[in-house]
Order: sequence, then C-alpha cells, then structure tokens
Amino acid sequence: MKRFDFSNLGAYFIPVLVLITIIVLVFLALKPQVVNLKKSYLKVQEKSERLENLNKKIDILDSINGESENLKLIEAEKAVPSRKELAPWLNEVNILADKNGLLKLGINIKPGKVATDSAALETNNTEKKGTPTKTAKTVTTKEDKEAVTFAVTLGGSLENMKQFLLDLEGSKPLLSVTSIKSKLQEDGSYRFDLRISAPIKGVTQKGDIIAEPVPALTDALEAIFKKISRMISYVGISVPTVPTGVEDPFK
Amino acid sequence: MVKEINLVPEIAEAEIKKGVYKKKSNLAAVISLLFFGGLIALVFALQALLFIWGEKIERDTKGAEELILSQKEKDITRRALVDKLKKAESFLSTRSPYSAGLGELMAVFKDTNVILKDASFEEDNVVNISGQAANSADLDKLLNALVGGSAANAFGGLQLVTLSGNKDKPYTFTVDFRFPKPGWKPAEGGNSKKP
Repeated sequence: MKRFDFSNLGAYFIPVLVLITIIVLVFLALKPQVVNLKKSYLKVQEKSERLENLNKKIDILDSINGESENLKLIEAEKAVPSRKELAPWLNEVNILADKNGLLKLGINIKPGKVATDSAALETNNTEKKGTPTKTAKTVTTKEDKEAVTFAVTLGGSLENMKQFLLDLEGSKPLLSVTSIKSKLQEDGSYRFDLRISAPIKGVTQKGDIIAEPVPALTDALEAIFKKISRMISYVGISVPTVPTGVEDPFK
Repeated sequence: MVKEINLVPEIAEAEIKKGVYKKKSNLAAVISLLFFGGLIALVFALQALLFIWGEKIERDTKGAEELILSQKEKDITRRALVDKLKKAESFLSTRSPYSAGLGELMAVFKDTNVILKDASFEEDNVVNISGQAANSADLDKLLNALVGGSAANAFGGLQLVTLSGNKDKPYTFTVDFRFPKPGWKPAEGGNSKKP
C-alpha cells in the first residue's frame, strides 16, 4: 500500500494560502461594487419605468380633445364648484322656494355650530308667517373641505315641498337634503326645517404630478356627466352683494 | 521474479515532485488571477453600461417631461374633471330621494282621513311621523296603506311607537319606519319602482 507523503503538504501550503487570500480580498473588494451595481440597476430600472409611464401619458394626452374637455369641466364646475361660495347655493334654494310657492322663514349657515358674536346678530327675530324673514349665521369651526352644510326653514304645503324637493334633485349646483322636519301649523300649512349639504371639489395635486397617469374618463363618469348636464343650472343668475356688517343683508 | 531497482536517488525524486507542484500551483495562481481580474473588469464594465443607459434614460425623460408640460392644461383639466365627476357620483349615490318619499307618504295620507301632524326624515334613513285619526278605522286604513300597496316598496321596518285615544278625542299616533327600503329606487318622474 502506498503511503501518503505528508511532505507534499508543505509545497501546497503557500499557494493555497495565497489563493485563499486573493479570494477573500477580491470578495471584500467586489462586494461593495456588486451592491452598488445592484443599486444602480434598480435606480435605472425605476427611471426606465417612469419614462415608460411618461411615454404612455404623452400618448393619452395627445388623444385628449382639450376644447371638449374644457367645456365638460365648465359644466361639471356648475354642479360641483371648486370654492365655497354660498351665494349660488342660497340663490338656488331661494329660486326653487319661490318657484314652488314656499315661504322662506330662515337660513342658518352651518347649522348646529356655535356662531361668532358678530355673525350671531340676528337681524330679525320675529318670524311671522306670510312675511318672509331670514337669519344668517356664520361660524368659526373646523370646516369640512369637501362639503358645505346649511339649514333653511320654509313654510307651505306638502305638495309644494314635494315639488321643491323634486326640483332640487334635478338642479345644479348639486344639493342634497340630508334631513327634513315638518310640523303642521295652526293655519293648516307646514313648517319645514331642512338641512342641506352641497359638495365642493377643488384641484388636488400630490406627488409626482408629471409622471402620474392621466385619470380615465370611464363610462360611469361619462354617464354622471350626462346626468349633471341635464340638470337645470341656477349659477348664471346674478346675486346682488351687500357690504358686511349691515343689519339685514337679505333686505 | 523480477526485482525493481530504483536508480533515481530519493532526494532527487522529492525535488522533481516539488517542481511539478510548483508548476501546478503557479498555473492555478495565474488562472485564479485571470478569473478574478475578469470578474472585476466585468463589474466595472457593467457599471459603465448602467451609467450610459441611465444617462440615455435621463435625456429621454427630460424630453418626455417637456412634452407633457407643453400639454399640462389638458392634464389639469382632465384631473379636475374626473375629480369633480367622482365627487358628484359619490354625492348622488348617497342622496336620499326625499321627493319620492314624501310623494309616497302624501299618497298614503291622501287615501285616508288621517292628518299628518309631524314628519321627520333623518340622516340615518329613519322616518318618524305622527298624526291624528278621527277613528280606529281610519288609523287601520293608514297602517294598512303603509304596510301594503306601493308605499310598502319604499318604506320598511314599520313600527307603531305610540298610540293614544280618549273618548270624544281623536286618536294620536307615532310611527317609525325606514326610508328608502333597500333595493327601492324612485323611477324617473317620481313613480316608485318595486325592489
């Protein structure tokens, strides 16, 4: 039997040691490079995806008819305004109440909240039936940014109220009656306390706007657009403005 | 029997073996150096390629961004339009058709001699009505109209909350129900649709 010659190990020892050292050094030197390479690759891939999105967006933007969309936006603005301007909403309620023979007994902007001292000045506390009076209050509370709530008190018959609600549901700016309280009066008419809310929607911009995909105008949204287009608009009617601090701004 | 004779001295044999090992180890060292050198070169080459690719993407991105910015009006308009329509959609979907509800209620009271004194349609879809009936027959007629007929499609969960009647005085009552009943939708023109 041939015996293993251990003296050969001495000859292998140095080269093996050198080889291991090289492997370790190369590994240590290469590791951060490989990590960098991976990071760079991911970054470039991310940029490439963004570029792809940008190119898709360009195609979509090219296919949009700017003029037609502008007209649609004007129509949508009539239904859902960008800003809290009470005049169109109050005007709408006012016109519809008149149209349906309802007496306007009161208006309360932001009902159920604490009014400021100056705004709480009630201009006329004597609410007599047949002589419409209005009371306006403004409040200093944290506001809901996407809706405005106010309350109106009207007087009239149930039939008048039904017709008023029907007109309100088919008009713009959009309004929603969230609650109705009606009470029979001595003269046979009803007093209606309505709480009404109106939506508002401004332009919101967040994040990477340039690369953000263009939102699709789906069939469902087109149907909503058609629906609001058919509604009657009361925005065009001008509302006379009065200076602040007057005793009765509705007079 | 043939006997082997080793003519090479033992020391010389060890030297020869050492020389062979040296050659082998040198070869291994050269190969490993070449391998690792190649590996390092590959990594640097890849980095250079990535850099060039990245630069190209940056250039293309700038061009694309400029194109998008030149059409920003379209972008903003579409965004605003979709936002508004979505808002309108959610607003309309949660709006209670009170005109139809009131219409149904009026129709019920019209068929009876009962007087509607108070009615409240609340945000949680609970409707509370109170009224006055001259006799129990009228009241019975009203309740039957509320639980049957077209009103039953619109109103659900009817509950007689209070009822009081004294001699020579009309009956007074309070009724609660839910409006609109799940699945009920008012038809165009005010007539109700069955669920």
